[in-house]
Amino acid sequence: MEDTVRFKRFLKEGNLPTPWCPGCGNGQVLKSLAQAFEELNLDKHQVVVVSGIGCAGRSAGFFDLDSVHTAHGRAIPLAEGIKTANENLKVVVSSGDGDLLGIGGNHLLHATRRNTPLTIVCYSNEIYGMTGGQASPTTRLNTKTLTTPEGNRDVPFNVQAIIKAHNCFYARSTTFHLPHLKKCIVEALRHPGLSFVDVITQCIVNNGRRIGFKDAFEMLMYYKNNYKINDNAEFLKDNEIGITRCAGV
Amino acid sequence: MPRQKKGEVAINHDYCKRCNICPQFCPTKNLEIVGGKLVSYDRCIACFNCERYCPDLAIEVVKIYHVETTPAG
Ligand SMILES: Cc1ncc(C[n+]2csc(CCOP(=O)(O)OP(=O)(O)O)c2C)c(N)n1
Ligand code: SF4
Ligand SMILES: [Mg+2]
Repeated sequence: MEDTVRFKRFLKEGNLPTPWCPGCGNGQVLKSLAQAFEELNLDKHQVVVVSGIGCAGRSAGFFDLDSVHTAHGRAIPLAEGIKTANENLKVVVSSGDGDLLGIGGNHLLHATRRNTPLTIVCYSNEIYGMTGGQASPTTRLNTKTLTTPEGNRDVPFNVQAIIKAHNCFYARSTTFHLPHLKKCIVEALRHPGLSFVDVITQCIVNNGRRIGFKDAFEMLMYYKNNYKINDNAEFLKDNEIGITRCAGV
Repeated sequence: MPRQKKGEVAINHDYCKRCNICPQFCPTKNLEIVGGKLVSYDRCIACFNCERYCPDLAIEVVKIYHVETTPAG
């Protein structure tokens, strides 16, 4: 067996294929999470994955370890409960932008205030994928979606500012920059307090096509050309990805 | 002498969704969707791009190790 496939021990291969559309980036994030677990050689019995509702929310069920697919927006409080009951566990939240920042946004605010030791991986496809492509809290200004046919007029959620306001760990990557994405998740898992990894992910079917991308590969090329890696910033610019510095850690 | 193939691409057709990501990442055009099915030829250089970018765990690349032989004489 090549080293590149060892991470599969963290996944339930028997449940594949995943329910995601052809070209959806969720599978790439799922793999990166398993690869990060493998890199840290985590004990399966010491990791719990929690998801909320949405396409990304389906991810929890594919991990071959204890996982919970909970109610919409409630992945973070449920994860905090698990961590409180057994602080020896590595508790990972694996969910969508709508789930974590929309309906679950208030839980995120208070979890950062408490700095609960969790790793939150946000599949940020800038859309409500599962329900057909409505604007989400991360949809960019002027972007056409099902609910914003003339372009989105609302400023997207500044996730970075919110996470960093309470000095929690913030990293951003994309599904094109896979080695970097894995590094971000590894560093997040190593962080002693709350860590958040913002993953820019392609939803070709309910977002990409509507805004003019031909296929998933074209979206990945857009990420390649648009984002530059900067792992040394205090605060990332819009076109930067990286692991931001966290004061006092 | 033709270029030796350096890897074997194993495709799991039950997992493959024919999203067409891997053929566009392959630097040697070793992968292609033909008649609705992903096929691989014998030009693999074992760069692992297809395996890395496949969202569906449908591809595994296995390296082929060639033994270097010195011509006699
Ligand atoms: C309480 C409740 N409200 C609304 C819904 C409908 N709903 C299902 S998934 C979803 C959006 C999920 O968006 P996101 O978290 O971004 O996931 P994605 O599908 O984009 O991966 C919504 C609004 C629901 N299931 N439950
Ligand atoms: S709707 Fe979008 S996010 Fe959901 S599975 Fe399809 S491509 Fe992925
Ligand atoms: Mg989403």
